[in-house]
Amino acid sequence: MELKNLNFSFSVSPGAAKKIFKNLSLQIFPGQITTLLGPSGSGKSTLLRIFGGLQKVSEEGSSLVKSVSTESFVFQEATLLGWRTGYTNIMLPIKLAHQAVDGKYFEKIAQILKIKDILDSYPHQMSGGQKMRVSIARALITKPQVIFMDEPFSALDEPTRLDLQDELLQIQADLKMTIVFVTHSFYEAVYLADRIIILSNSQPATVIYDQVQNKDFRSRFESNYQNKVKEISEIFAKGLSREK
Amino acid sequence: MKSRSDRLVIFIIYFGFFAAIEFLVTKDIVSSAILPKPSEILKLFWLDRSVLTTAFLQTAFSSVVAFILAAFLAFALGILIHLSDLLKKTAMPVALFLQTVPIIAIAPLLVIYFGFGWVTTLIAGIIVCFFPVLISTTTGLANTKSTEDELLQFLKASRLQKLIFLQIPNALPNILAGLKTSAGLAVIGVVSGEFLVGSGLGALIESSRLQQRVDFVFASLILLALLGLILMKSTEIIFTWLFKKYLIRK
Repeated sequence: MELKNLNFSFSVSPGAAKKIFKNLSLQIFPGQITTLLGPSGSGKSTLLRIFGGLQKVSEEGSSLVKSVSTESFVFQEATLLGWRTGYTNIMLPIKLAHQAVDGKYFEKIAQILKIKDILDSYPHQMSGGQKMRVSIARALITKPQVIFMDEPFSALDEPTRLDLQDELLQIQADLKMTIVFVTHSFYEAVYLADRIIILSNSQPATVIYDQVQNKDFRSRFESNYQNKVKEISEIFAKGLSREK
Repeated sequence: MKSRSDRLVIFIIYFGFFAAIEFLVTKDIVSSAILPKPSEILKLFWLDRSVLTTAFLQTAFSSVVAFILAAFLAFALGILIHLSDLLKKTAMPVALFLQTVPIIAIAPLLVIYFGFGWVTTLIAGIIVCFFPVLISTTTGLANTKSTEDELLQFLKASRLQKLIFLQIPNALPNILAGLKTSAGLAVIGVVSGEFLVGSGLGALIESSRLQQRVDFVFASLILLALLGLILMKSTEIIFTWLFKKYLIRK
């Protein structure tokens, strides 16, 4: 997936537009978890929506080159339909596309995400973490090549958040899919990412950091992980002060 | 839920109210030509049960049929209006006209067009209870969350799939509210038609007025109120039973 010379503006009032991106080019490599970090309003969610096709690129010179057959999107909210059970929510993409369910595959993701007990429950009977697990299962059910995730764990409590990060890593290791993950958290970005991209808070936004990281840590308690988080947070802070 | 003591208080208030009327009319402080004694109305319910039951069943039947037809027509039109801006601009002014002009003013026209028959009564009922279901349907269909819309957009759902999987289920609580309002209004529409056509409780009230039978008028009013309540409550019970999972949200 590649964005070439992205120019993107939001209309803020009649006749006035806010330039979000100017000639931004960015490539997403397959089989990696790429995390997008940036301050609020830097356009990271917009960038994700453009990659996902939810936001059209129409300005002159901009193009999105994508050779992806199946893709999924996980929103900040779980976005479950309240009248469907956990199971029927997960099966929604399958139902809409008139596809058949791969039972073994479904069993596998249900096991990783620990959702077997809530398949017959309705969203109002689930906790925030359970809803997000169902939402991720729904994104996985079509065996996507790419998953776009827009701060999916931001509203969850810390233990659930950490659990889900581990489950996401397990899913990615098992299924070898490409994940583009937007987050506010340095800890989350470093823990999940094969590659970290940091956007500036300038207008238009620019990429101030783009590195593939050597994940030389196995847990959150290792000093390598803590050092990496420190390094990223310093780059982030320097980027912000430079832009000011 | 009302507690037992609440129910007792409510019973005492009502009992006291009717006892006071009974006393005032018995002592001739209030004329029985203006206000009949509650005991007289009760007696009337027994003695003239045949007349009252026939009239009640006629009005009830017309109200139920008018309500069901109006609900289906309004729901179908609501979906079409949701799908077509042109239809919205064309049909909504007519619907608004029928809603704002009192049915008692339209009823004579219905008699001219459809005669002194059951159809006139039925159409009067349909006109009155059509609008709330139409508005609740169009409002409910348009009332989806932006993230749910985006989810269906991302999943490449067709217009029809979006309607079936998201918009109609999402609109059901709104539609129930519209149906409950319409159920009560159906009785009003039907009785307006019956005043002119000469059937059911509407005709009974009209003939009682001519004969100065206030007791019959009151008995008919009680039956009308009862009919409205039964229709509203049964609509709620049936709808909730059919669509329970769509009505519980969080």
